[in-house]
Amino acid sequence: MIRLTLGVVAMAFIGLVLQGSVLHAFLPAYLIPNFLLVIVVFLGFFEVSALGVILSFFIGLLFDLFSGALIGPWAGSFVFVYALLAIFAQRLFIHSISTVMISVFVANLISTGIYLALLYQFQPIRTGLLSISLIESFVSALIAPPLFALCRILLLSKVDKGVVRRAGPEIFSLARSER
Amino acid sequence: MVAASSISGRLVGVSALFFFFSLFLTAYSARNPELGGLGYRMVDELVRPFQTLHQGAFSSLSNLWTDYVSLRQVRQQNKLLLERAQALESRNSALLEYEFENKSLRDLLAMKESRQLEGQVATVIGYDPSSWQRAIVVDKGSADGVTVGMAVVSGSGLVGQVTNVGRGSSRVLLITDPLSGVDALIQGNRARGIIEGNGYGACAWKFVLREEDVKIGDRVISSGLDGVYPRGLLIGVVTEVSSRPDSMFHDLVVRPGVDMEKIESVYLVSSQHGEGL
Repeated sequence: MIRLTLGVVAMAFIGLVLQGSVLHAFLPAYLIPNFLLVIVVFLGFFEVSALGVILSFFIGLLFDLFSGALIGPWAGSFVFVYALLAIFAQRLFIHSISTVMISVFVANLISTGIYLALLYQFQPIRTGLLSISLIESFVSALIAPPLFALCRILLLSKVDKGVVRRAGPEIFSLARSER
Repeated sequence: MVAASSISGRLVGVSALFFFFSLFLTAYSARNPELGGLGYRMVDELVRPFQTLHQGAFSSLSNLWTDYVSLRQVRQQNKLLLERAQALESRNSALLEYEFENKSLRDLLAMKESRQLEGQVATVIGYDPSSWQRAIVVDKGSADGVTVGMAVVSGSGLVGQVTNVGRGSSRVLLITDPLSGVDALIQGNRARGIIEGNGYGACAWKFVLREEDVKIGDRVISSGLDGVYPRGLLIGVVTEVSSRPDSMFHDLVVRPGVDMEKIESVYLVSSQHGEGL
């Protein structure tokens, strides 16, 4: 648990620096993938617990704080996406690259939609965000498989790595209870 | 299955709790913007060292890359400029040739008009290969109406006369050849004599009486009395004056007005206006 928590915090910071600084030197803003969301999707697949919710909230909060505008929209949208994945993704074969990419693509669209919906309650939003969101979702989906592999190496224990959650939450729960 | 449902239910509950907390935070931070600023400053303090590090590293890399690209561009530009310089040099050389030719032809034209000469322009295409004779070959021959005995002049003065005519070229014996002879006189006091080539690129002026006042620098022109050369054309300038006690003539050396080694265009004179040659 400690390994997971520290690993997620470290990766979130690194992702933030990458998204907020390093990659801007090489790529236009709309081509920069959302690393933080990919981590949240990873948590939704591999850490179905209260800790996963808290970590997702923390990542979103970090994103909000770094953005310097409202505090909460990203945290709320990440928690929502996490919960959605944690509930439904138990029935997905998550070792398939295409599943990972599609999940990240859809999750990015949903989180952006929720973020904008929350933001819109308090301040106007600019137009043309749909196309930007689609591109960002696509780019995020592209980097998701290698990032998932990295997360598996850094964040999961040997027991978790051996788990194949093809049959649903029961196997996953059993695997967790064995630890 | 019950355990799984229980996990899902707990998860949804916790998620809903955090989601609504997020909504509350959003609303609160909207009403209290300073909260967002405070949070930003906190995160910024954490992230800024990494950003600074990255910026420094990126600047160095960027400068390195820019220098490399600039160097490559300079190399390409250098190559292009060298090629261009060579092309321009070649063109410049051609233009200088045209200029020289133009000047030469203009001189010929001016002389032709001032002396009222009739004839045609020819280009020097060769020199006599023997070192014993001073002759040139021009690109006009019998097909162009050239005949033996025609006087050949240039813009700077007298050149020689046609001695052999082919169909497309002619040989011109220069006045610097020892076999050549031109009836000449000094432009000032009209002292007369015969110009012959000395075989060394200059001419000897013979049969000028010692009583004649001849000085170095006197201009020698053709008299027109030999029936070959038009009258009044510059032959050269006196460069040496001497006389032997036992001789009744001066020993004079005349430097031709035309540089026979560099001559390129000549005018083949068929007649002088109103007069046959």
